Amino acid sequence: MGVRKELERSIHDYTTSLRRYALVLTRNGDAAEDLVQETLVKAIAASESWEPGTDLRVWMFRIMHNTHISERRRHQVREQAKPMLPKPVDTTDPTIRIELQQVLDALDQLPESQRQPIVLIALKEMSYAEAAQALDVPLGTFYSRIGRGRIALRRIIDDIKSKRPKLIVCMEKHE
Amino acid sequence: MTENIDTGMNAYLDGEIGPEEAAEIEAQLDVDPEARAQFDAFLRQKAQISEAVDAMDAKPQNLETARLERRLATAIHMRSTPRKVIAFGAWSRMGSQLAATCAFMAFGWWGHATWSSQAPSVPEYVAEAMGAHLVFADDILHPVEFSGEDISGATTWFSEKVGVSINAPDLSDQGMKIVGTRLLGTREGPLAQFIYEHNNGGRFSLTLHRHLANQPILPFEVVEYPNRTVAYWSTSDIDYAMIGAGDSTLIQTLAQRLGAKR
Repeated sequence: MGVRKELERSIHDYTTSLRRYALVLTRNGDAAEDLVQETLVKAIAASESWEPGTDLRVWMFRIMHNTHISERRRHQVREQAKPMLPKPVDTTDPTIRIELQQVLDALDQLPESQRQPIVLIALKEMSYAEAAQALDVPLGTFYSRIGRGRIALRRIIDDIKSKRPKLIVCMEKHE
Repeated sequence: MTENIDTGMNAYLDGEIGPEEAAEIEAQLDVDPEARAQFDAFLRQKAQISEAVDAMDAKPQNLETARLERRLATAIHMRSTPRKVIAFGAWSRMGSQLAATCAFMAFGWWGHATWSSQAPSVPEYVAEAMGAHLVFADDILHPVEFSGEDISGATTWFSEKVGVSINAPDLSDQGMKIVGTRLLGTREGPLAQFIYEHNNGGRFSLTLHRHLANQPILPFEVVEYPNRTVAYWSTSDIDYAMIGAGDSTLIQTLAQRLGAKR
């Protein structure tokens, strides 16, 4: 395979990873695609700033991260996404669907700084060191955020489960 | 449960620790039900996030996104491909292939890359030299292994390690002052790197590697990258690579001067 073809394939793989990450961040397919496209547009414009020899994937994730955390993007994407919840997750098994939905709902309640490390690692896209670089935080901070985030996420999920309405079946007495 | 256990547990869950630390965490999980419950919950969270994304990510590729991907590939390709090759001698026909390959080998130096070309005709020491330059010579704050008066003693040690007599070339008549040196291990053997600073503040590195008897003697070649120029050549006993930022004329002059001194 030629160098150019290999590069195209790599960028396609990285973009697929970006889209998966964006789907969790935005909870909306169209908003995720917008975020990916905006990231690619910025990457094209900033290609001169990419230093050969450094990790292209981390560089692209960093652009997406910066794009997402900008006030305008955060406001638009999250506000637009809210009315569409809980539509995105669709699996055939309703029990699984509810559980997956709960995880995403719980993730939404976490602060951005904890949500992003958890999602990046859950999607198996990066090592801790790469993810810390993409999010532009020291490795120690990353460790701390993912640790605290997971504990908080567990509490939120437990809380959601405990509040879930239970189906009560009333049996009529037949005398 | 302490924060240390939490930290270790997360790192274990994500495959970020070695086997010994992993064994410690596993032992801890075996005797601590609370930690086990926490670990199982974290494991479930992680799997469910991934599953949720799989369920959402079912759309075919967006055409506009595909177009942008190709445009980015073009921009990055231009960024990482040498602009021109100045070849001397019979190997000129290999120039562009070699140049492109060197550029992409630099992506993969010491396993830091996420993608790289693995063309078989690359002089590996040149790619190693480029990687070493990117890490050490361009970083003004990074300490060199030997500096000042230690350089002379270091070259004796280098000569023993590399297996041929090596000296730090004096380039003071070209406005170049040697600032340090280090010895690097590569797959093809030790590589001696000398770092110079020009009057204008630019950093240059000269790397020397024992020429392997089964490899061709490379004529002098200069390859330009977006921000750096590499000149490389071989003699019967040493392979050379001179790397610096910007001015390719200066690199050529320095490299040819070194060749003449030899």
